Amino acid sequence: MISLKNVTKYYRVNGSKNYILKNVTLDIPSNTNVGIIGKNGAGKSTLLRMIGGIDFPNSGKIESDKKFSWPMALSGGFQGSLSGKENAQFVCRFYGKSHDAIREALAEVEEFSELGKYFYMPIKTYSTGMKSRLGFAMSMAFDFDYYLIDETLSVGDKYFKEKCQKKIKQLQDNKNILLVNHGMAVLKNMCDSGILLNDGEMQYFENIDDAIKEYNRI
Amino acid sequence: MEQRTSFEIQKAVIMSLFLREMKTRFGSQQLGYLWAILEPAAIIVVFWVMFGFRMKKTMPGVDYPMFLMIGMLAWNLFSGYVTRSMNAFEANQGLFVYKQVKPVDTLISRLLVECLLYLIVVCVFIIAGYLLGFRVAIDNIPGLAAILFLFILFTFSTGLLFAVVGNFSENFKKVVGLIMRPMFFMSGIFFSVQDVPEKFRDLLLLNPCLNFLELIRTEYFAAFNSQHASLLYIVSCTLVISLLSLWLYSKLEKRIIAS
Repeated sequence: MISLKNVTKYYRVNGSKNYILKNVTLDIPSNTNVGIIGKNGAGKSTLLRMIGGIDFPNSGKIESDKKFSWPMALSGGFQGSLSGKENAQFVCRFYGKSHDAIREALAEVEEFSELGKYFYMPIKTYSTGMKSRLGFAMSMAFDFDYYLIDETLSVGDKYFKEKCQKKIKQLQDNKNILLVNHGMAVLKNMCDSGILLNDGEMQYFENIDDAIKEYNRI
Repeated sequence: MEQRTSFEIQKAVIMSLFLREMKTRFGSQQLGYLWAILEPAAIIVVFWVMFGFRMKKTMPGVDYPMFLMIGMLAWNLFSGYVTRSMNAFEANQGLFVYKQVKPVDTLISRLLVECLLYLIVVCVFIIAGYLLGFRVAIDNIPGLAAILFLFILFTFSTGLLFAVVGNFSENFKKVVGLIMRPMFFMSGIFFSVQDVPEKFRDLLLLNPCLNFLELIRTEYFAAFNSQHASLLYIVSCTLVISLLSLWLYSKLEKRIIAS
């Protein structure tokens, strides 16, 4: 379960406060895959980042005893002059994997990302799609309770998208995802429940279809 | 993944950042280490030619190139570190998607990289000096280690302070850039403060770097003893800047991560 207790988050825009969450208290139950829906600027990514512990509410608390992946977004997390392999190695190291576990994880990442020789080339030679493939493959090498995915399933070719979706489906036996995506078909396919963000309010729907219906209404 | 203490996590993060930085800076195609030797060597030669003859008289028993080398490397470590620190958080912003990586870790790991690099460079220069027939012996090794430790602490806290302020102010970066240039000539890299006319001495000694360089040389050279630099002054400077930078950083850490 993820508990939000009196959470307020805003950004200052030209002196006035633009609310993402306004005193929200809500529990997101466990064992459900949650799609996060909302208009541009409603704060979907910010919510994901707060849950992932790399952004912070202005007041209130977000609590959970689950392990979260880093929020997988389209940018960030890589050192351009190092290869994909070296970047993956770096993340494995500070997550505290042992020498053997790192070797195993690297083999896994190389295989799943299907980057071929690019795996050994600097990240700056990668396309956006290749970066998101690497990022996704890296997070799959770790044992998290929740995988936080921000739009990374929207880029890349159809084949790899399907491969990722299949992989997540496999994971879902004991793992869950929190997904930000603009494609309603992807959300319907991947998620059970939904969160709708609108004007500082946050609503939870047990069924993703209801969340989408409500989103289309506003 | 088993539960780790926050200290263990930070240690693992700093270690992996360290290895990553070593690879980027000194990887097979980088000439980073070569420049760290060639650049000070070139400047040492220039100042040696310009002032070497005069300094022989004012500092008997000290070989001027060695005197220059100590000043040059200490200054390069300090100025290089604090200048790069101003952009450190921005440059590493991408890493803060991993909640284990705290902004300060990137500064600590880079300090380790720089210290290791300069240790190697100093050894190269000492060997070169020995081969050229200069007096290279260190007068007081424990004393030198102590003052260098203080100097590294001073360098780190100044770097942290500059990193935090630089993250929020572009003007600050420009001002520091402007100040660093004249500081090169006022930090006693190629002179000792005893050679400076008395009326300027006290003003120059407000610069902590000048005090550090004088005291580092006092410990290194048996024949050099700074009459004017104050240990109390640099200990106080280090203490004040450490506390100020840590306080400011702890207040702003979350904003730096989320920015």
